[in-house]
Amino acid sequence: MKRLTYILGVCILVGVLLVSFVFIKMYNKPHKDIANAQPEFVVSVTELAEEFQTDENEANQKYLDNVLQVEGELANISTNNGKSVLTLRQEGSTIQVICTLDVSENKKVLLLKEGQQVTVKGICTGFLMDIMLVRTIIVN
Amino acid sequence: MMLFFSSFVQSQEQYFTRQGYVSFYSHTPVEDIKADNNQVLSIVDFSTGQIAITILMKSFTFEKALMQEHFNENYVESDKYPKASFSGIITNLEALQNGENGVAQISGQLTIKDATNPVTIESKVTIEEDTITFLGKFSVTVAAYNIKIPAIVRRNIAKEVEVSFNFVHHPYNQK
Repeated sequence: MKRLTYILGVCILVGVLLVSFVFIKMYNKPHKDIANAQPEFVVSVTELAEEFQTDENEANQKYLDNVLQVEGELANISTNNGKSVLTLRQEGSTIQVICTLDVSENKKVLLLKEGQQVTVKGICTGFLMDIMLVRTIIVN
Repeated sequence: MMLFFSSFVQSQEQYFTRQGYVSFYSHTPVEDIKADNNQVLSIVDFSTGQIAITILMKSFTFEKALMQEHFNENYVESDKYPKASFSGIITNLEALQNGENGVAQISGQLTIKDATNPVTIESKVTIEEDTITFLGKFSVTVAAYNIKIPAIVRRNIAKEVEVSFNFVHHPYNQK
């Protein structure tokens, strides 16, 4: 009888530990690792702009929540509440791509100059006047 | 939205920002949840007092991936409703134009998901040479926007969420 209570006690303890381990693991699940993620789409600013302008719903379905790699001319560098923001443009398009950078990229931003070509990788969140990327990292 | 936008075109006094900042904060004894979004589009016509704001729900970033997932998939259903919007009017515009009062009284309609509710907001306004800044906060009742919180996390999420904003508007014609 004593032995049975003992085994039962151990089982419950292990169970509780296992459940809390899984719970903590899930609760602290990391964000998608953009730096090492293969981009789902490699596109130019103009291509993106055209697709969002022609059919926003369709472009939303295609691009939202996906990792995009975008190349363009760096039109503007700014900061917004501690995060760096890059604006990418391309000749022939009034629509730009606004990239909010991951905080890990803050140092790299110092090396960039407006007017140069850049390639970035980030998660597409949608289209207002411009196409938006978040958690962006600088590829090149 | 586009219609509203085009009605602005004649006016000389439009200001806008493509990078407005909005954050929300939910406080409960169990946990605090915060998310921010610095990709908010806001347009203000300072001659009529009209304000139009559009927010991409997916642009809110959270500290924890799980919270962000729950927010997008279960609460605001951002695949179905990618944008939230606000349209309103400054009710004490004259006082602001005369520089008498740095606080704008704004009343308007806030749309999240498929629900629209009237809101009144007080905002600090700073007018400088070529920027107009709106800064303030207000609270949003989660249940008023058809956001259903499951019983298991009900104690983790506040019934009233505090929304803060900071919009630095620039003149519209200068890009």
